[in-house]
Amino acid sequence: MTATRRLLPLLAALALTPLVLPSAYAGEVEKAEHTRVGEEMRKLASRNAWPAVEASFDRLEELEKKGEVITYKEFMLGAEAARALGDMTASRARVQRAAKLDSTKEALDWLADVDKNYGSVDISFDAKYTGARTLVPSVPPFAPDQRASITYAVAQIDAGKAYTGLLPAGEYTIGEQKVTVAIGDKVAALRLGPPPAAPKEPFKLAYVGPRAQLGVAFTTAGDIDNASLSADSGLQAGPFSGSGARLGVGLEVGLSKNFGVIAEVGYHNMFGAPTRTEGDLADREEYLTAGNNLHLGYGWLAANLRFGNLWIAAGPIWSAGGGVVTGLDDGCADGGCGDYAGLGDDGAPYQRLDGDITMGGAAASISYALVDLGSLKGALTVEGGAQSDNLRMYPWGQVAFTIAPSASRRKE
Amino acid sequence: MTLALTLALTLSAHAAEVTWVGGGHAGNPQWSADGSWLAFEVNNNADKVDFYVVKVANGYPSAPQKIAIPGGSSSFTAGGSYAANPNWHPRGPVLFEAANPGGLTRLYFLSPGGSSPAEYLSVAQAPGNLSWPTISADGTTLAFTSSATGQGDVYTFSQATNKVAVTISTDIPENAPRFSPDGKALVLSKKNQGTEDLFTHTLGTTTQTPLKGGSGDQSRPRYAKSDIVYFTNERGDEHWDIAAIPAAGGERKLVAQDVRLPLRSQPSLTPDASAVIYTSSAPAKDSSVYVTKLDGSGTKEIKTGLSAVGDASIVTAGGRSFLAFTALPTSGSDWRQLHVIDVTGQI
Repeated sequence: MTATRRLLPLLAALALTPLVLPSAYAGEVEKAEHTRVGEEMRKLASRNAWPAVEASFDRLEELEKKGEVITYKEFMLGAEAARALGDMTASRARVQRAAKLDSTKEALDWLADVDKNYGSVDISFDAKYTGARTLVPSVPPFAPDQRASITYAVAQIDAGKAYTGLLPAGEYTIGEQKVTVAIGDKVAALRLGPPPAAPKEPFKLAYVGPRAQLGVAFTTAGDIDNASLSADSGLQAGPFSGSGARLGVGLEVGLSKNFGVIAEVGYHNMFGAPTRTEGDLADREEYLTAGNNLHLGYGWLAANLRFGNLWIAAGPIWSAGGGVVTGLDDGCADGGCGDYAGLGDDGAPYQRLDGDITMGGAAASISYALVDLGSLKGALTVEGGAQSDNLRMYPWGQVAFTIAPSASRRKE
Repeated sequence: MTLALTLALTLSAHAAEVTWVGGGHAGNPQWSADGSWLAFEVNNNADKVDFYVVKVANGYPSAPQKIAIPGGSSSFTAGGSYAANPNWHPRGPVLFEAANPGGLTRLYFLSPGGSSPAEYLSVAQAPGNLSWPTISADGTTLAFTSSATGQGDVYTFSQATNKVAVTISTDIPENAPRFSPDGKALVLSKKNQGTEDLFTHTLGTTTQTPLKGGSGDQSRPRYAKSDIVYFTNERGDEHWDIAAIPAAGGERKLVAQDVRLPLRSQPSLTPDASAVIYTSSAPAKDSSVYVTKLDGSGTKEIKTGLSAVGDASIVTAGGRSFLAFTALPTSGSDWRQLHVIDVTGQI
């Protein structure tokens, strides 16, 4: 029993040995690596191989996270490496850490030297910034660390990054922007934003001007749909047609060079011979036959597309007016219009009717500009429309000469 | 002779010795432009040259600071390091050449009282061994020599452009360039048929104008207003003289004979460049510093009470003039020490 008791601690220690050894081994590895890296740093520094010294210091910082302690001399070498590479922010931070380990005159003088020559700056760029990215000191410094620090910041900025850190005190420019770095705690900030938006030009009509057209038109009044006739329809003329003049004046407003709006009012007439299809009655002199005529005023509102000299316009049109027509509609003659039966087929074509018309529909035109008339253009137009007074359609067409504003902008 | 008028002055009571730990011979003291700092070298005969700066207030030096270049304390280094040849920038910092053992000689920048020295130009900017740094009077341009091509060419660095340019590149080595007062020209020496001759070079051109050749070496020239002063041993290897010649060319005149050749600097001038400052190699005269006017109007002697005086350098600041020099004590020491004395009114 006694021997067993004596062996128990030994057995327990042996059992724990595998758990203890690995951690002790890892510490020694890091310590050995620290020694190796530290000596390598000094060797590299003697050759001014600063990027390699910096890489070694980075390795030391990794070892520091695992418990190694960076020495004063290593911090100072790291500071020299960062200084040689222009990263004065890191350089100063390393000297400061060295000074915390050992407040030597060397470290304190270094910190004082940095603080009396450098200031903090925060240069950033908006994602939409597209201007210059070259940092230029107003007076290039003579000291190598100051030159290197500017080169370092220039490289950061050229690479599209922001730069926050130390720069030699003085004035700098990036493009048109200036920033003055001052010694002390104040951080000089420069944020370069997106290029200023171009001032919004107030909306301006592309063109505006009078519009006029004069032409000859052919107008027809179609057959009435008997189904639409009723006792309230009153007497309705039969189909008729004729030629006449059509003239209009108005205003055309160009919302853009290619699109405008037309507002036009005008006069549209028609003169035509009565329809006398039945030979027997046509020769009967007791019937006075007179020509058809129609006089309408109209208003047209249209959208106008312009493709250079080719203009295409379309829009609703309303017309109102009156006329005199010879010939009763067949449906009315058959009694479809109410109590007007009895005229018979023989008399209906000779009935003289006058009355008013109000009709609406659409009209479209195609014009081709042929001549410049100052700020106006003269164009040949083919136009047509179809309107209805709810009983029949009134299709019409015309050929006209149109004067309209030129879409070419005047020079400001 | 130009030594016709010689005034003997006695070392003033205001004298200070710069002391440092470790011994060694002091050499090549150079004043900062404002007279507040003195840079010098120490050679301890152990295959290395150390570089020191010391703050001087009213002629009194404080404890000198030994300057170690980066990596200079590496345990991997063998043999001695080298840091020497200080050249002060007119606005404060000092440039010097230095090398770690086995490494390239490079130029270093030091702001005294500030951070540790930093390599002034990277190898990418200026490859090779760099030496003989000199700064233009306005402080904007640095000239130096580089061994990059193996022939010792002259390069310049412009502060304005942050660029290094090859300024003089010939088949023979160029040495010791110095700027003209207006910074538009350089004077330098070249090895020409076995001896050193003097040349001037106008910046922006590709040719050098021969200035002075002849027997012996014409060495370490520098501008003194419109003249160029230099060391010459035309009378034989054992006799170094200081001569002056118009920069535009002309007759050279001897200013001083049998001078102690400074460690590596050009002839020392008074701040107004009207006189040269030197010491004598003649044992009977080696305890004094001499100031000889370039216009031949006379020489003043400043007695030091020390022996083997050398490397004299004068600065005027705040209305006072201070002389730095190296010397051996009359007895009791193996090392050449650095001294500062107030010579206000004596030059």
